[in-house]
Amino acid sequence: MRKELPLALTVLTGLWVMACNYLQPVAKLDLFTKTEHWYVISGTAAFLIGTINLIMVHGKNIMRRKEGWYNSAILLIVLFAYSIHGLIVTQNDPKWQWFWDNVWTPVNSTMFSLLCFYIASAAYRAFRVRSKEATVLLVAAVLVMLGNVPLGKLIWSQIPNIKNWIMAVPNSAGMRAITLGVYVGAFAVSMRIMLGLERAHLGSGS
Amino acid sequence: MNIFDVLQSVDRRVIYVLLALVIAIPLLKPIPLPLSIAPETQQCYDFLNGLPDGGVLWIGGDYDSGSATELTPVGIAAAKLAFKKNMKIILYSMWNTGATQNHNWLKAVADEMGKQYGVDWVDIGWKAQAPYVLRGMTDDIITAAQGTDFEGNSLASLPLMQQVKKITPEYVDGILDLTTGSPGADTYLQYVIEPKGVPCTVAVTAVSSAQYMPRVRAGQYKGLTNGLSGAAEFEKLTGFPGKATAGIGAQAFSHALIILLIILGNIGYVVNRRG
Repeated sequence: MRKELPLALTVLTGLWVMACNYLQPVAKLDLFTKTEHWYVISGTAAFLIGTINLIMVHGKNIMRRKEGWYNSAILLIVLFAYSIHGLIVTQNDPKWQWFWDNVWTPVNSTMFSLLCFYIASAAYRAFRVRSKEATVLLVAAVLVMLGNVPLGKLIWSQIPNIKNWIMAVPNSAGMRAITLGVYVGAFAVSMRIMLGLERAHLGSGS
Repeated sequence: MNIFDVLQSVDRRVIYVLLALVIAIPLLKPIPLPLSIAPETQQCYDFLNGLPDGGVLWIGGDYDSGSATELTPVGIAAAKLAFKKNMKIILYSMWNTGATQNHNWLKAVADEMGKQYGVDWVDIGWKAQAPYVLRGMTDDIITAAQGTDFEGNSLASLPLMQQVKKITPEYVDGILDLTTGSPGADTYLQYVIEPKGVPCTVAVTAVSSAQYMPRVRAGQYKGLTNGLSGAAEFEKLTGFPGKATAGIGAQAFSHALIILLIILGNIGYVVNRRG
């Protein structure tokens, strides 16, 4: 039953959601709204599982004194302290908010700001005219970059129009093809899970 | 090592220093540059400006501090435009990491324009399993949002929420979604725009604009602002210049530096390959 029960639950839930959305007589009963409450509860439970996994992984790092174990110690200390403090005072407490607004938010912004430097260095090293395709990519990238900023218009008045065309026509065509492929793939994987052909989510040895 | 070897192997620390300078100097000493308005930005502005005076604008704040530079200026300019038209604003954040910052900038705009919380604007905040709460709000906002706003006040006690029962064209005139990923604009498309027919425009980060452009072309989104440049264009159209306009110079020169480095690197590469 260890494998059969989760598989049965998966199939029944998938069929139930499909019936609620696609079968007119069932859709009229508006039962899906009630089902959505289950998503909220199960999704929140997943947070708990994720937190437990985080504690296990970083706890092992600390116990085994792996390289950089002190980073794991800081992570767990902040995790417990901030969570317990938030549970006691709730998220509307000014001190709890202060930490979020003045520590986490600037750190997050800084981390994303660093991407600018990495991208500049990576673009300088990666954009080489090694082939015809690479050359087309390079020219398109340069035109879009110039078209996105006022300098492009200063260099040549048509650069913004060229950039708009690149984004609207070839880019849209390519993105539509990619999106179709993604959703066809997602549908195929979903059907495999519902039919019990895909069992990776049941754990090792499935 | 000749000059062409040097051109294609510039030390990354030199690149970092040059980049820091071309970003910092225009921020400290703004350089006015002419802006050309992209068709999608014009479409976004026309949509928001065409919403009825006194109507309801739903703002989705689906981003965190990492994308705030590109998206918050659009939110601020749009909120000012909406309040100028005596519209009501409802803010809902599907990213818990951005809920506080969204509340702060909208509160600052509302205070500046003399708007009252609960009457002229409401912040529903972030709710667990936010996409499913959004879907629930197309049937009943107060029930789906668990009855409370961002600060824990009862939604039912707020005059604005007594008028706006659900996210349908009957109650909400338009949506502006500030989005950087998932959940975001695609969630609104799946649960609100297509099933309920509420029109929506989006503000996106530059890196994700390619993904949303096909939907703008198909008419699913009524316009789009593309990153910091789109935000600056939007500020120009609304007549409320802000941080995007101030920062576009830094972006322009940083792009120019990157392009220059790419060109120099390729000159060195081509000459060495032929040699």
